[in-house]
Amino acid sequence: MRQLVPVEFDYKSMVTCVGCESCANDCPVTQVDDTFVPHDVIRAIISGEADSVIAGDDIWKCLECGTCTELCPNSFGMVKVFKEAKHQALERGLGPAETRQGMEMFQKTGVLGQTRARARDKLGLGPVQVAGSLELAELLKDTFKGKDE
Amino acid sequence: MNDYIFFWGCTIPGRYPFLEKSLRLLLEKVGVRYREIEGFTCCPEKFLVETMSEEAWYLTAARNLALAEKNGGDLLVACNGCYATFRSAISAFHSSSALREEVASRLAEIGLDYKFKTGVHHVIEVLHDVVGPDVIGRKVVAPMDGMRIGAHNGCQLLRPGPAVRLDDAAKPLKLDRLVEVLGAESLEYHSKLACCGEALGRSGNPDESMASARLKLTELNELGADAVVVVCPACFGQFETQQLVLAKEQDGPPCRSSTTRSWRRWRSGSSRTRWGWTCTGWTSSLSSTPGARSGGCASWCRSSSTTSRW
Repeated sequence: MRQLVPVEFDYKSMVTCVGCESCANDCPVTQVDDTFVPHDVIRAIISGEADSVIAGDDIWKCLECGTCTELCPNSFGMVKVFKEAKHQALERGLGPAETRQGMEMFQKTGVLGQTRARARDKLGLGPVQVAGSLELAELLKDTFKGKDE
Repeated sequence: MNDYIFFWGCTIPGRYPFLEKSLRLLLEKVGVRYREIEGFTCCPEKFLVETMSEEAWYLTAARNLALAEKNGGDLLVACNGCYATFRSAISAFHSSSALREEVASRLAEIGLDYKFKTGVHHVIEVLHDVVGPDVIGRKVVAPMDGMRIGAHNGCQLLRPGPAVRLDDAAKPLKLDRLVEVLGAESLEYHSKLACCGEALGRSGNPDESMASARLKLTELNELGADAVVVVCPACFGQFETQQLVLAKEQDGPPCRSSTTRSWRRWRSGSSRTRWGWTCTGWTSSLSSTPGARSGGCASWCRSSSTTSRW
């Protein structure tokens, strides 16, 4: 089985799951979406179906709130697995448009979101300082090399 | 008191400058001094940047931490996201010498000498552990007596527990104490530790995001809460935005989105707006500065074994 699970996933930790489902019970997303069964996602990856999981929508429902990790009797939780699956999706050019746009903005400016300059002005607050953008771009120039094209 | 350097992050100064304003007023009132330096960028945000590139996430966090270290201070943050990012990154740096070496050598390439000594403190931590609820209580000029508050810490103030460590991840108490010292009652409620659901809205799941907000707001509404106290700007945006949609859905009265206004309305004894949820801040209680909306402070909860599922 193991050779079917991509090396990026932490197979050894994943199989420590004892199936108690406390993670699924208290996952905030399972409270609002019956179709989301987080441990099924993990099970699918262990079963060698990582590709379809990575291409699917379910991985993007994980809020990364950390609830499962806190509750897991093996201190494993699922965040790491979901995070890796999301990472793989982004590497393959998949994933929600909002996420990709956000990342683009971070790469370009070093910050996230627009500034409401007038609102700041009204409150007597000065402009937001973004003096570090160029230095950050220099620091990350090798990290993002080839990803812009 | 440590020598603090304020790290404002992206969302508070950019999108919700009134949170910055009220924090500035609050910290002045309670005697927390801090410096501000140039050169910070996004912390960076976990959901997005760490997912895309762990390397970029570590390096960006380390650069911000290195700038504080170079200027001889610890970081003071108000945003839960920034707090969890820095605490998690520091935790990883402390547990891996290989990571430390890699990060230090990359930072050296841009002329930064980082020794991994920077501490990171959240405003809630400073208010509770350094200033203290008693001191804050003595400075209250307009107590929120009788007000029923649903305190919402937000995920990243508490989790991941091993790295963040602001409060007990299963039974946090600090925010509740701060709420109660202002004269309000901090409610026990079942969904207290649940995520606000904001991140679902920016990963292509807006309906589930709305449902998450509805879950918490409905429970608090049924308990007769007057307001929600939040800490995190993302939680603030989530509840503030979604309650407008919920109000329309319920055909309820128009929602008053200004905290100060709804607080004044509550003070004046007018009836409770069905979906009148807002972030209730410290400024409204500690000063009467016009135009300053509620504080970005607030983490929350006193979780009891009877209501908590943890």
